[in-house]
Amino acid sequence: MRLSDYLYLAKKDLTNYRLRSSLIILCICVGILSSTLNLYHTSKRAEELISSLENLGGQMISIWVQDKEIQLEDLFFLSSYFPYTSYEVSYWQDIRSFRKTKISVSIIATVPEYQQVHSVKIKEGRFISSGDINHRRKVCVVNTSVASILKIGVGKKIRIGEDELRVIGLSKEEGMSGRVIIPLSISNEIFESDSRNLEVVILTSGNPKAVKKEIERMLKKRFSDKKGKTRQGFLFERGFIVSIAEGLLETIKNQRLTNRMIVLGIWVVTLILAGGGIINLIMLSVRQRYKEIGVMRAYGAKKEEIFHLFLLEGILLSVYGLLLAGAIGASYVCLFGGCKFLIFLRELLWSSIVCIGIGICGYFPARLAAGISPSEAIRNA
Amino acid sequence: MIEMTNISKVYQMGEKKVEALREVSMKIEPGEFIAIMGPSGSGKSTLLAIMGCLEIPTSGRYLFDKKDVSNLTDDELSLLRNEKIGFVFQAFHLLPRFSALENVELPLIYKKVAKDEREERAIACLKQVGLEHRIKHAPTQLSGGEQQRVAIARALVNSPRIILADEPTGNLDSTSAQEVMDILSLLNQDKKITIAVVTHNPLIAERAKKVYHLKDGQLVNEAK
Repeated sequence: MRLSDYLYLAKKDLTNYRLRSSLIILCICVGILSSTLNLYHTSKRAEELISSLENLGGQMISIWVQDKEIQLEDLFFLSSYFPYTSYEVSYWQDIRSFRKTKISVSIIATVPEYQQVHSVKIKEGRFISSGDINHRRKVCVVNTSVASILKIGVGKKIRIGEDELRVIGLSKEEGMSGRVIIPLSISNEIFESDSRNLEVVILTSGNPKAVKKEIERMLKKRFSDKKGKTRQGFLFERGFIVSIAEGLLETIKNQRLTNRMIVLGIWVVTLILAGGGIINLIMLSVRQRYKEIGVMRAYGAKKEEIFHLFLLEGILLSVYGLLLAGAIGASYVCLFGGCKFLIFLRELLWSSIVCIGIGICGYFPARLAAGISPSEAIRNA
Repeated sequence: MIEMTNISKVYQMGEKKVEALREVSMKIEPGEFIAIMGPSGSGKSTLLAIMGCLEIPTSGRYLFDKKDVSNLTDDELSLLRNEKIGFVFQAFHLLPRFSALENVELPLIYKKVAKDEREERAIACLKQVGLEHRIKHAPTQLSGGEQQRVAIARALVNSPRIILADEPTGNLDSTSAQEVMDILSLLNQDKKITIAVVTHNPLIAERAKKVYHLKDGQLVNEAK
């Protein structure tokens, strides 16, 4: 039998079970679509993060200050070695607008270099300047999520505890939770020093491992000198954690892996439901077409031709489901998902492996159909 | 063309053995018109199924065109059925989702004939049975007589050496039965196609040149 004839006969049979076929196609489509879009969004976000890290033109090295005796000012010397150094103190605190709306946000007290180091894009207004630092101005930059919840914009004020801060800029950080950036010089006035979380982020174009080693050496030298022999070694080991942003890439990769595990779960459920549906549909079809199989065999159909015909019906259903998921997914990606078609196609390709699995579920009923004796089928019809 | 020697067929029904055919021997020459008669359960349909290579005999020798059928593989039997044998059944057995034309095309699909040629040959066969105006109709839109004529066209489309008809008029009124038998007789006379008909009806058997009677799986006598 020719392939075109197989397709012709299989399509004819599937249209006979229109409702059941449509339900199975829909089931496959939903499973494939949800897993593909899930993978698409994770991959897209990860690739954006990776590309934004790459766009920074170098690698980020973070220094986490663990020792409470060390102040950020003690680390300012790093700026003379690394031009792109951002000093950050972060807090988690409630803020209020004048309408009394209250939300919990992450507050970062920092320096102007933060903008270059973290590639912060300003949607409206400006970022913290050295003037704000020097004059200890009570100003802040809020991200779009804070602005939309508190319904505030540039020029408005927010309250952090008893302090009022004027919004001077609106940062564009998609997908971020609430974040407020304030000048480093006013952090001591607003927050108690105990609740602080100190970090220095350095952007370097050099070999990150070599730079990390150099920073560690500098810190060790500086703080050993300052604190004397008794604290030598202890201070550095417990005082700082120096890490390369590769750790961030690692986190992204781990998140992707976790997500793939979730998607694997969706695939298994899809495989069970749609595969079971295909087995059920083809079994029913074999039972109802018992006589027809006999007639086909009497007129010269070989066992393998009957087997291939029923197997093709299962495969066709899964291909239709995949195509439908592909079409809906592509439209979604085009309209709302950022048009990253290559990522979408790559993830759809993964899902198509599941589709092959679903299609192969038709194997068992197809074998059953091929084994029917023609004379018995005709006699018992 | 067909030579059967001591053909027996035993079916295993659980622990019980049922002997459907016992030592049947017969010879059918090319271009013959034969009828097989006998009461229900006498083994007529089993004999026809063996003749049509749908069943393999338990014992005995069956030569089709001097070729021993018992040595053929399942695929070779399918090929033999496709190229040399046409079937007509009592219940027509047309595929309900297919039009008359598509039903007639079916054997040609298994012969890998191209779509255009398939259509051409199927239409020619439907013309031969007088149904050229009903080619697009589904089996449910055709009368019993018409359905059986479509089945004859389907049996005819691969230019078979023999047509095996199992009670071809069993589900038809007398006029339609007459028409169907006229077509089969015409095919035998004009195209020299061998015809073997299983029937209860003596009027149908009268058209045959030879009539075989079966009783309890045994050939009782050969008339004419």
